[in-house]
Amino acid sequence: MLQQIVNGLSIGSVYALMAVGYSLVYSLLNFTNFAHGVVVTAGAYLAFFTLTLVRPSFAVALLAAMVGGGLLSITYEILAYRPLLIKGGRRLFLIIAGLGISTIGENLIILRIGGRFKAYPPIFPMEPLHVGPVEIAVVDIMIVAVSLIALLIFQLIISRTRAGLAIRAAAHNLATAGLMGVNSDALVILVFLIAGTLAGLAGIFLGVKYTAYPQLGAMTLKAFISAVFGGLGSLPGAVAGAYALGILETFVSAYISSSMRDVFSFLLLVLVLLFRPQGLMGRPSGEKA
Amino acid sequence: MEYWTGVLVISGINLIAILGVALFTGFTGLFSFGHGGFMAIGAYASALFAIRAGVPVPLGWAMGAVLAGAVSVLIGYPALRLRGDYFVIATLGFGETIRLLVENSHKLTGGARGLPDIPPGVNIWVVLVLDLMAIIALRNFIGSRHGRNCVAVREEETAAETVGIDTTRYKTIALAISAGLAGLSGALMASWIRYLHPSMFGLNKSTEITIAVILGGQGTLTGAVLAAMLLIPLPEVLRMAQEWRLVAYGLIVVLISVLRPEGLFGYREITFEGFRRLCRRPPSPPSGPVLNGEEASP
Amino acid sequence: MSVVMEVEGLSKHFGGLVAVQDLNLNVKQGQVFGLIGPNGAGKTTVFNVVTGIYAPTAGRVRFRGCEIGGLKPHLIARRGIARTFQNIRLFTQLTVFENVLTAAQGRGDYGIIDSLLRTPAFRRQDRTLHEISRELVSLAGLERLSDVRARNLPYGFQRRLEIARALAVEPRLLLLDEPAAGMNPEESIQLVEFILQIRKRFDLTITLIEHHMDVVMSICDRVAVLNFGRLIAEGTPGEIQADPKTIEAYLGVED
Repeated sequence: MLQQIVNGLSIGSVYALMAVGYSLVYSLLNFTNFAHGVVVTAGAYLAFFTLTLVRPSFAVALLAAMVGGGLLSITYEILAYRPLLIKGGRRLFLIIAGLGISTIGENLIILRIGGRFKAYPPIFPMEPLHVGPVEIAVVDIMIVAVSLIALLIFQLIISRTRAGLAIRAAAHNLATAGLMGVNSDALVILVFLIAGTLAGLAGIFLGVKYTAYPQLGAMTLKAFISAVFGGLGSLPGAVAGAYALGILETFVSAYISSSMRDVFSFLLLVLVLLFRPQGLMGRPSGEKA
Repeated sequence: MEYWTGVLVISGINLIAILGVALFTGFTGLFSFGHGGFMAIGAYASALFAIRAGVPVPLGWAMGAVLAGAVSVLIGYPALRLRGDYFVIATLGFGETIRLLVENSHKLTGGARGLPDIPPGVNIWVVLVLDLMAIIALRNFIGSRHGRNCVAVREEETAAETVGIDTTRYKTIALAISAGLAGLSGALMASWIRYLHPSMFGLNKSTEITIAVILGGQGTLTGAVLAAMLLIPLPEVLRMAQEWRLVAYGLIVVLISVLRPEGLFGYREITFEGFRRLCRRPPSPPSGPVLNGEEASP
Repeated sequence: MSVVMEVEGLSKHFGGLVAVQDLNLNVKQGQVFGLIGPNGAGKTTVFNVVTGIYAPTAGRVRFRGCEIGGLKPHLIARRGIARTFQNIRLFTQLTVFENVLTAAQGRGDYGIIDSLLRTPAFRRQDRTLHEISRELVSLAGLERLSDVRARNLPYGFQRRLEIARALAVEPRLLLLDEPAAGMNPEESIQLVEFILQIRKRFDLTITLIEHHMDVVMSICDRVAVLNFGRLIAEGTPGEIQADPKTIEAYLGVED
């Protein structure tokens, strides 16, 4: 059973990277960024091409995925979301635009790169390490380690820097923060940059573990589920929810069946939404009329 | 000729689901990315009733539609209390769950292998008649106090409550009708293609339907019909690859959201009334935005 | 005179924020009752509790003798309480006529099947509802703008429309949240006349949140002053004008 927990930590880390980015955008702008998936997929492919065409160095590929993810994220924010936000667009149009971007991205990849799986060249030793009763694959150690470092850095930015303070203030009320002198445009770009970087990182990890394929972006649904499970609007909640989901999924996969894994996750989502929409750590929402 | 008939039939079948979602999204203002799930319920239910229980095909369609509607009320009851985004994600979760459940029940549904040899029963006339009935029924619904209550929910939910409208009830009604229509659409699809596969009604399908409604515009049945006639046959005609079609959908959706949120025909309808009025006297200037507090033209 | 609306020991908390604390009010039949106080004093919260948008944290709300605290808004509306909103919540894409009709149609009871088949019951009721709505639109002086979409109306007319829509619900109690906001003196006078007119015509009791003191003074029979969620004074307009606590609340204490 310990083995399952360990396995779950790896995928949980990936979910956490995606969930944090998603939750960040949600806290700030109050909408579900459906385009998040595209960045994950892009990260996976960027890393793949970097490894195969440029240099077979994991570090470089990592960088490529993160930078690419961040840039892509900012690009679609400026092109699609910004005009909508300026016009005071209804939140649901933001959601739809996001879905549109995601559809475009996924299908362009299929058309231009091909729909087949792209397996990464072997970068990590295949032999698992034995720690006590548990077997751990080297790649999983890498994933968990780098993810935790990234999350830690993120946490430091949010809690220690002025930019982080601005983000937290704005998460409460973007308009008010703007009145207090925070440049809300720049803030939004920063947030998307962070979210995109983390998503790109998640992408390369998914690519390493599962190969790169166009529908990889659908993994962000797991990010949504994690964020909802942990509590929408709570960043620690997103992380907690992600790890919890990763571990629970692994259990289901191991003890029930791997095909039921996704069914379980969606059922979890539905149940959480129905019975405890504020998730594990969120606050119940109440709107002022 | 037969090719064109086929294109029209597919368009007509999809139109029914699109009309349902037009009521749900365009008139009641609720967004769903899970109506593919209701189509799946209608499709598989009617197919299985016909194959396994020998139910006559048209009855099977009706049963599929009713079942989809019933399921929608069941999950709608808790789900509709959710606010905005939560609800949309819930619909997504629902659609995916249905697809996964179908995939994982091979004994019943054939799972990922598909369900073949479904009895036929659809032709262009059936589709046309059903389309017409759906349009007329929805038009009557919308022109009644029930339809107006749905619109009030879309416009200003809190204010709607304070004028005595039970918004949860109307959201449920809109959901049930749209789910039933989606179920009917799925059932017809099953009888036409005579083969079912869970991927037919996944997120792509749900998105397609919602995109059609967005393209058509909020608050307009005419727009929904126009959009359906554009979006469904056009890619067929242009022999577009599935992927280019989806890229196009994505692009349409982004462009509409950013540039023209009211879609092709938002908040307007082509009606016999309007047409006659147009023919009888010179067109009057549309009531545009008011400047400087002056009265708007009637 | 009978008490139409009564609030007893009402408190409303939002998490740690106390919006209304231990409020006691009663409004008698036919009165125009003013609710004033600095911004954030809790006035709109009181309206929201009375109309069911919020449930009270503590205390009771009674309408014509019946407890309504915690009931859903649409049920409260059906009992005869209607309101307008501080920041105007019209059905923007609908026309003036449709806004009123949507509120008036609560009186109809034909079913969905009736509407699908356009039965005689449907036609009859819908015709009546249309007539009632036309009358109300006329009463509010909006008949020339009847087919204009609410979003295109000039501001002053939007406020009128909101009142007309509220009237369509056949209320006994009308809650007006800053009806004169953004109006110049002339418009305010017209509004006051309109309010008095409808009070008489429909035998209404009216509760009014307002910042325009001239409106409050000219039209209210009684005024209650709120500050930080508590009642600090109540009386006739004249009494309130002279009340030191009220003056302090609005203007601060003199050093």
